[in-house]
Amino acid sequence: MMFKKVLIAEDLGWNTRNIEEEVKRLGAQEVVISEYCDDAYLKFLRAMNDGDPFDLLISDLSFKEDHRTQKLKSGDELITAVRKYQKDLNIIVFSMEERLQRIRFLFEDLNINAYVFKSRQSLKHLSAALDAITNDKPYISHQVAKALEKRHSLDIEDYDFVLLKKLSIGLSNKEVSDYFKEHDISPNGISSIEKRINRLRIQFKANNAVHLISNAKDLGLI
Amino acid sequence: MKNTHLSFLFLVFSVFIQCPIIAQQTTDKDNTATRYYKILLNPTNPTTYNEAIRYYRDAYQKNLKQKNYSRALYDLELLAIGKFNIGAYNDSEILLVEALKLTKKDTSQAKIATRKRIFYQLSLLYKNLKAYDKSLALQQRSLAYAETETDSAQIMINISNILREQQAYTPATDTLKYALRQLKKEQSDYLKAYILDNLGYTELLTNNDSSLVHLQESLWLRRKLNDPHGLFSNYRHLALYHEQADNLDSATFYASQALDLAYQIEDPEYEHEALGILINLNSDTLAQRFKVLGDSINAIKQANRNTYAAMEYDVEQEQQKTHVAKLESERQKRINTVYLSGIGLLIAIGGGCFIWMQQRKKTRLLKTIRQTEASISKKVHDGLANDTFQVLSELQNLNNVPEHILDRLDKIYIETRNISKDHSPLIEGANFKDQLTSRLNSYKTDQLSILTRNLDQVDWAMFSQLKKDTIYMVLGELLTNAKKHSEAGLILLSFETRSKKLHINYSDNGIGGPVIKGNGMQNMEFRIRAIKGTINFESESNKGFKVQIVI
Repeated sequence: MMFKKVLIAEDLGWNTRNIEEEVKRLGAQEVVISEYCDDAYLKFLRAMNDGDPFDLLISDLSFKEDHRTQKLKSGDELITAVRKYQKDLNIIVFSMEERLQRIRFLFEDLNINAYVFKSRQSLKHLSAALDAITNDKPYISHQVAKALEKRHSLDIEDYDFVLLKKLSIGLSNKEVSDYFKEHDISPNGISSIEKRINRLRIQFKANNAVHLISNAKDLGLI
Repeated sequence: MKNTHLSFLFLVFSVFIQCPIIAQQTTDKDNTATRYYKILLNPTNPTTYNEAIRYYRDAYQKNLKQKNYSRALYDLELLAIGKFNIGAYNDSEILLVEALKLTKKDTSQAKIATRKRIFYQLSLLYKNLKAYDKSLALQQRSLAYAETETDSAQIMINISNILREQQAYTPATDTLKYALRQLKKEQSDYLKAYILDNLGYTELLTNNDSSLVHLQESLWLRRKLNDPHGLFSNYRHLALYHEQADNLDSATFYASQALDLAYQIEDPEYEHEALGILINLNSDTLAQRFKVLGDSINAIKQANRNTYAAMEYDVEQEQQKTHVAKLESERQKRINTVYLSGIGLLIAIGGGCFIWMQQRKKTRLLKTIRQTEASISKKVHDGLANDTFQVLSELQNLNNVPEHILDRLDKIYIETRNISKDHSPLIEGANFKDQLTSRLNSYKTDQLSILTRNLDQVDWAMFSQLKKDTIYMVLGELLTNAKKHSEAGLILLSFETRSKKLHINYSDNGIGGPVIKGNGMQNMEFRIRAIKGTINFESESNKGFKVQIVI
C-alpha cells in the first residue's frame, strides 16, 4: 500500500468514519480528518513544511456553511489550492455531485485521480478507486462514468435521418445504397448501411428494421 | 358686334405674345406653382383663383424679403395678369406700377424684357379701360426697349390695335405698314402674316381695296405655315371683306372655310364666331334676329360677369382677412400643439422608462428567483441528501437492517438528489451546449435512450443567459419526470430555430397519460412564461408524451 498518510476533508462525521476505517483497512498509517476546507488546507501546508507531506487527499465537493467564514468554500477550491504545491498528490473526490460537466472539469483541469460517487456502494467504489490509483489508473463510479466517456453528441446525424426516411418509404438496403450512390452520399456500400441500421436499432431500442421505423415515426422524427 | 370682333382679335393675340414669355420662366417651378400659374392665366373657379392669388402673393413677399427681385417681379406680373383676367383692372394697374418700380432694383439681364412685358400689360389694361392715349404712350415707351425687329413689330401691332380701337385707322395702317417694312424678308413669316392680316382688316374697316391683297397674302403665308388659328382669322376677315363688297358667294365660301377650321380646332368659340358670320350672310331674318339677341344677351352676361368678377374680388379680400385670422389661430394652435406634443413626448418617455424599469425589475426578479432556487438546491443537496446518505451508510454498517428499508432510504436519497438536480443552475462560464448535452446524457441508461435532432446546430449565442437557464432547467425537469413516470425507453428532443425563435419538441414512447405528477407541469409553465415563451403538453394513453416549447 502506497498511502501512508491520508488527509480527509469531509463534514459528515459518519461518512468520515467509514472512509477512515476503509483506508486504514487498506494499510494507511496516519489519517488526518478535517471538517473545513481552510483547516484541511492548513494541515496540508503544515505537513509539507514539516517535510512529511500527505500521500492522498480524499475530499468532498460541498461543505455546509456555518458561522465560520471560510476562504476556501468548496472541494474544488481546496484541490486547486493544494495542486499548486504538490502536482503529484493523489486526490480522490468523494461527492454526490452528478453534473457530468463538473466532474469532467475535476479530471481535466484539476487532475484528480478518482471520483467516488456517494451511494450505497460508495465504500466498495472507494476501495476500487484506491486500487486503481495504486495501478496508476483513473477511477470513476459507474453512475457518473459518462463524464469521462467520449463526448459524442446525442444528435442524430443527417445521414441517419435520410437513411431512416428512405427505409420508412419502403426502400430495401440495396435501394438505399443505390440512392446514396446516385446522390453522392457516403458511406453507401450495402454493408456500411447495414452497420448503420444496426447502430440505429440499438439507439432506438428496436428489435428489427420495422420496429426501428415505427419507433422513429412514433417520436415524430420522420 | 364690333366689340366682339375686337375682343376676339385680342384673344388670338394674347395667346401669341403673352404665354410663351412667361411659360419659359416656369419650367423650373414646381407643380403647385405651375398649377396656380395656369389658373391665373385662365381663371375658372373663384376658390382656386383666390388660392392662386394667395400663393403668388406669399411668394412675392417671400422673394422680396430675400431680395430676390427677379422672382418677386415675376410673381407681381402674374398677379397683375390674374387681376386683369377677372377684370379687376385697378388692382392690376397698381400691381403693374409696383412692378415697374421694382424693375429699378432688379439687376438681372431679364430686366429689360420684364419692363417690356409690364409696359405691354399696362397698355392692354389701359386699352381695356379705354384710356387709349395712356395705352399708346406705354406702347411707345416699351418700343424704346425693343431689341429686335420682332420685338418692335409686336409692339407696333399693339399700337395699331390701340389706334384702330380709337378709330384712328390711318395711323393704324401706317404703323402696320412701317412694321412690315421693318421685318426682313424670309424672317418670321408668322409675324408677317400676322401684320398683313391686321393690316388687311384695318383697311377693310376703311373700305380700302388693298385690304383684299393683304388678306390674301396673309392667307397664302399661313397656308404655308399651316397655322390653323391664323388661317381662321384670315377666313373670317375675308368673309367680312366679301360681305362688305356684297360678294355673298365668296363671303359664304370663306365663312364655311372658317367653320370647317373651327371644327378642326375643336373650339366652340371659333365655331360660334364662324356661324355668326354665316347667319349674317343668310337672308333668314329669324336667324339674324336670333343672333342679334344672342349677342346682346351675351353682352349683358359679359357685363354681369365683370360685376361678378369685382364681387369675387371683394369676397377674395374678405377671405384674405379671414385667412390672416386663420393664420393667427393656426399659430395659436401650433403653440398648443407644441405643448401637447411636449406632454405627449413626456408621457411616451415616462411610459418607456416605466416599461424599461418593469422589464428590469422583472429580469432582476427572475434572477433572484434563480438565485433562491440555486441556494435551495444546494441546501437540499448538502443538507438533506447528504444527511440521508449518512443515515444510509450508518444503517449499512449495522447488522440486521432489512434490505427493503435500505432500498426505501436509497430511493429517498435519489429523490432528494433529483430535486436538487432539477433546481441546480448552470455552471457559470462553461460552454452551454456541452452542459446541456452532459445534462441530457446523465439521464441515459441501458433502459433509456435519449436522442436529439439538430441540437448541435442551435446558435446558443442568440439567447440570453436567462433563456438558456430556463431551457437547461425545463429540459432537466422533463427528463427527470420521464425517467420517473413515463416508462419510456426512447426520448427524442428536436431543436429548430425559426425566425429567431427556438422550437423544442419533446417526444417519448412511454405510457403517455397524465405523466407529469405534482406541480412539475406548472413549474415548467411558470419558467417558460417568465421568459415569454410557450409550452404545450400533449398526452394520450399509450401514445407517448409530447411537449412543444417555443422560446
